[in-house]
Amino acid sequence: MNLFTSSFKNKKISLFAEITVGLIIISVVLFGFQFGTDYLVKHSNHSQYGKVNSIFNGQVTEDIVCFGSSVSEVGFNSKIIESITNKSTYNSAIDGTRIKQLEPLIELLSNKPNKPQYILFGLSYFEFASTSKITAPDRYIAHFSQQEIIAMFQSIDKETARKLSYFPFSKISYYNHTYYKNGFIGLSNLIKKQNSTKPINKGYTPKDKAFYVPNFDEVKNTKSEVGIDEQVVKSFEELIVKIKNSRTEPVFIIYPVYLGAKTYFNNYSSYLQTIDSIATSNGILVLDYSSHPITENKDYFYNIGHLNRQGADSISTLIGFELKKHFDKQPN
Amino acid sequence: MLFNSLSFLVFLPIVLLLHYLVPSKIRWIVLLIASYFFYASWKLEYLVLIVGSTLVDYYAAKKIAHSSSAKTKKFLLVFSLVINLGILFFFKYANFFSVEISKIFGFSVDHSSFFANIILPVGISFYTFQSMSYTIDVYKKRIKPAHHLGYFALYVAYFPQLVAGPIERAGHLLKQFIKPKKVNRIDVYFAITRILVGFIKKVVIADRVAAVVEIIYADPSVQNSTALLLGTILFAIQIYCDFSGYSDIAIGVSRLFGINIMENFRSPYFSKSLGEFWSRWHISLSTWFKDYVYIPLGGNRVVKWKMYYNLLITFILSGFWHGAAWTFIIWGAIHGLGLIIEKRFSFIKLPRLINHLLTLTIVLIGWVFFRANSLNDSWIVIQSLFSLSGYGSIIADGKSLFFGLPFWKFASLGFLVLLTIIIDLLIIKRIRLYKVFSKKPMMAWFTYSLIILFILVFGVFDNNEFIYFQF
Repeated sequence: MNLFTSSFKNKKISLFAEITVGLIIISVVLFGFQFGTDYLVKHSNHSQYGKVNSIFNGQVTEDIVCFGSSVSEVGFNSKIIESITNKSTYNSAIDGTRIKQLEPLIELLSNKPNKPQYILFGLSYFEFASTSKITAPDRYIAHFSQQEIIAMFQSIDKETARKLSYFPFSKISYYNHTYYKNGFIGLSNLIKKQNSTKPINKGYTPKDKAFYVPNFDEVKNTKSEVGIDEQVVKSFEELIVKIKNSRTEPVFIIYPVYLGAKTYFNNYSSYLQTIDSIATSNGILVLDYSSHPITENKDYFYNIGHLNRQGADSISTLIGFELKKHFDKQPN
Repeated sequence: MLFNSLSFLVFLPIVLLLHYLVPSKIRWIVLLIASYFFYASWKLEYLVLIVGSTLVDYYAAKKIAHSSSAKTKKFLLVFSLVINLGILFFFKYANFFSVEISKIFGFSVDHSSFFANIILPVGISFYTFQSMSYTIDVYKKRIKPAHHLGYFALYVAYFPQLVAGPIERAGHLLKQFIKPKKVNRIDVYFAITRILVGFIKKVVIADRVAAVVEIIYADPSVQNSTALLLGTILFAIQIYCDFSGYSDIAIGVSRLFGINIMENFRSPYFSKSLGEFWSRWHISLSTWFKDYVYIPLGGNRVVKWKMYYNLLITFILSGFWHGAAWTFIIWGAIHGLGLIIEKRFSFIKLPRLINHLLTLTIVLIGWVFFRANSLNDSWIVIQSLFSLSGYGSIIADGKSLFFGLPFWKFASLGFLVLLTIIIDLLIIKRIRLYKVFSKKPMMAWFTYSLIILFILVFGVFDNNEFIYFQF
């Protein structure tokens, strides 16, 4: 008797048992799909997914690792920094993400035996704003069984954390086309027996684009507020202290914004003061390019807040030399 | 608590378990408590309204049945109608009338006023109509009054169909609560198949299509005719899948408790006339209006002009039932006038395809008013749809390539439309999958797994409300 034509009825199984067996079949199919997809995604080396995977797989062993949002992702050329400082460098910035969301990755990295010597924080103006939603949860859900990731979800977005924790297979509803694409990349890596999940270019994603902002004049003349939430600031400072205690040195980078961030924000100085205060009380080097002359030249940007390849290479050179100067001052 | 929420996925198995754990005689108590809990999950205070409406209609109907005085009977009926319609008027229409009266008399309207802040209790239009039909039926001696307040309370509040119908009749539902049917294998497969089809319609089709409709209808003045036509067609798909999806889930869930509730849709877009459309679209509401408005007005048994008048009034009231706005009134009027024209020129015989296209055209024009955010927006869409020069490529302005959607996403909309047609064709061709499933359980459960996977992969899970909840 073929699987699809077999009948429980003939075997005199009660309706209740039939439903129970049915529910088991559904669970097996859904679990198989979820487990298989997650497994493949964990082997992807593509962009953000690759960055998350490489930290969980223990493949990030560089001396300098940069964390941040898209501003750092497109603005931090690891190879340039590496060539100037003579220290291995990796860009682990993930677009649309603030440090709060990257906390589990940073903590995981700074607690490993082969941890980086320096963790660079590419800070964005939205860094300290309050939030109750995880940005792009799909990048992390393959690793949702990890305690650090669960804790991060719980601290930012309790509802999503609850759904993912207590409702079997609800994870599948968070998969999107990028997730499946990464699944295919993971499959291809498995076939090719490629073990590294680190993305190309040492995590740097250059943008070869010219400056374009629709309604730029309107944007320029509309001022808004930089969000500063005391709780977020406190949690950020706690992270910095933890990193320092693990004998890794944090460094802050404030990236340039076209025409200067003060053009777009009323309280940008409060944001800078917050960073300065954390840096002073914890003895942290701050590389501040918010007022650098580069902010005057749109050839270095592809939009207001993001550097293009030309801008990224220039700023990375400056960062490299500043870091080298800083390293040279330190005792061996 | 929405059907498409995780809380419902917890609520339903618990209620089912409790329902089947207690003796069959007291199962109605489990259902009643569950129904009140379901309704209170929106707002606890709303319970007062539904309980109030239940008590008024139960005792009014009882008195009507036992009274020998025609005057008392009439008084009690009017009393019940005034209470139900009064509740509905206060929560649904008070703000509309306060604004319109202010406009007529030139008062300045304060939108933060008392009326503007009244929140419409979910499902109020459905359960008041259901409750009213009971009192009217008892008055007309079509049914006997319920002998038990508990059963009647369950009839008014029965959770699968409480917030968006189908609007049931006491004659059909009450007896099922008193003597519930034993659920068999076919019922289970029918229910699961129906619930899954409902979820596909709601979370995969309606909610996906809604995102595009929202963009197009947000500001129709910036869209060309092609985009507006597409948006209107997609809205027709959205509202059908949203509402019939809800009804499918309601019917399926109810069957799990051994209760059959009426069908609300029968592939309405395959209709060849407006008359046929209304016998296939929101059947429980259209039959309600036929039985309690159109026929009491005189129905067909009057001179022609009076019959047309009755039709128009019935459809305008039906439009107004949907929402306190001129757009809904015009939507009802379009259907009323369409039916009048159809009846007046019924001697003209047109090819089947032309009839079908004409019906769809009128339905689509109606949807423009139903969906548009204002009367002004409706006119913009209508003018654009009828201006031949407005049609052109949607991607003409370069920036809004497929309304900002990638091509594959746009192409998937075509697939969703096709899926809707396939589901409806299965119904038209009377292909009853659940019967096949009940004979081949392994195949059934494996297929269910794939359907659930399909829903999880392609569905939208933002807890989007069903459109008809707002009515």
